[in-house]
Amino acid sequence: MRKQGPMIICTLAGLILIFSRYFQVGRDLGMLTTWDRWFMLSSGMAIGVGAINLTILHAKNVMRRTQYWQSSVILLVCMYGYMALAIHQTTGAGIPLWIFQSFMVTANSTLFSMVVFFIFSAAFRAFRIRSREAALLGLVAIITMFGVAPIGDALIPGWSGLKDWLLDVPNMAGFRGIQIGAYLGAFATAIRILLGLERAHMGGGGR
Amino acid sequence: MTQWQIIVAGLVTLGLYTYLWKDNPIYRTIEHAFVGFYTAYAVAMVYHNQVKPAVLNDLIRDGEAIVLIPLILGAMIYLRYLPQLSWVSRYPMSFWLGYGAGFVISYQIQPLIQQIRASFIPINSVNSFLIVVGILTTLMYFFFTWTVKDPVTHYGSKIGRYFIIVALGATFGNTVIFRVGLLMGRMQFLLFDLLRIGN
Repeated sequence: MRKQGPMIICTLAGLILIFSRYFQVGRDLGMLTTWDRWFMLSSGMAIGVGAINLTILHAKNVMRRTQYWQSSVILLVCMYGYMALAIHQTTGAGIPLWIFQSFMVTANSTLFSMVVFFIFSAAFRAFRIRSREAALLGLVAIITMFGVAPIGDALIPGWSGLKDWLLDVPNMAGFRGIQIGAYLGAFATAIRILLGLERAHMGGGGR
Repeated sequence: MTQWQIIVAGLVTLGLYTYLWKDNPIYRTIEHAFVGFYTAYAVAMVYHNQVKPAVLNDLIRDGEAIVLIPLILGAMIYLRYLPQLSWVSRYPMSFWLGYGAGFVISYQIQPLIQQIRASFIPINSVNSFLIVVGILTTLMYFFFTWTVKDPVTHYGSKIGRYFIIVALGATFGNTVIFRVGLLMGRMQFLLFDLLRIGN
């Protein structure tokens, strides 16, 4: 019940999808659509786990008065305040939309853009030429950056052509090899899961 | 955006950039509010797009009792917070994992075959030769099943490493450029929209 049940569910969930897809099993019953919908609905509900975990973590911070506990208060107020408004109204109108447009979209792109400063400092350390590999990585990155930006062609005519060749030939070959390897690895893992050989997900759910 | 929205967006942008000086309460406040807002946003989206239509439309209006199965299955994940019943949360987890495994086998065969087919090209130029050699040697690099001692695979995997480095270097360059683009977007917003300078 505690171990065999979930393993049977796991194998069945995969096999039903595979048989519905390849052999059209249950097509008249709309099996594939139903299975997709069940997955979307059940997995969507798990989003609350993230909210609960955040609440537990930050409520502990507040109760124990840890360092920066005031930030935890702000997080909890913002989370539950926005949740109440967005569930009561909708995310696409009123105050939730106002906050989304002015705060969330702005903060998202600002946080992403800030990473560029840390990437540059990390790149400076990483690309100091210690080996052939580091030199090649740095060289390709510089060629790509200058090739994408207009300054590359302005400084050296034809620079973007070099960038295009790098992207179309060696980069594509490397990426295709990586992708084929990743697909094969994903298949191997999927088969191991369906056969019940991969049981890592069974470890955290009780004694 | 309205004028007030522009002011709030400007303050958020400037407040977050204060982190470049050092960690400070303004940055922490905005960062924590951001995490809180986005979590709530995700929960509300799932509620409005998944749960509400399933309960109100399918279950109550159309009387489709079968929709209770995924709803109960999804709710079972919350039993992980009750130590005596936490094992029940393995059921939804197993369903998702099994579905994911089935999805990979059902839907990812096609892109794999497309990649392999695209690799079978006539070797009639230096570029096509480099592409074929690059793919084969990269695959040799990822061969971990047993220790390889033959010289072709041994040296092939070494060459493959250079192709992987080129791919990673190009990805790094593109990532930096994308982030620089975002930074320019924020600077343009601060100058043109908030301060109304130069536009």
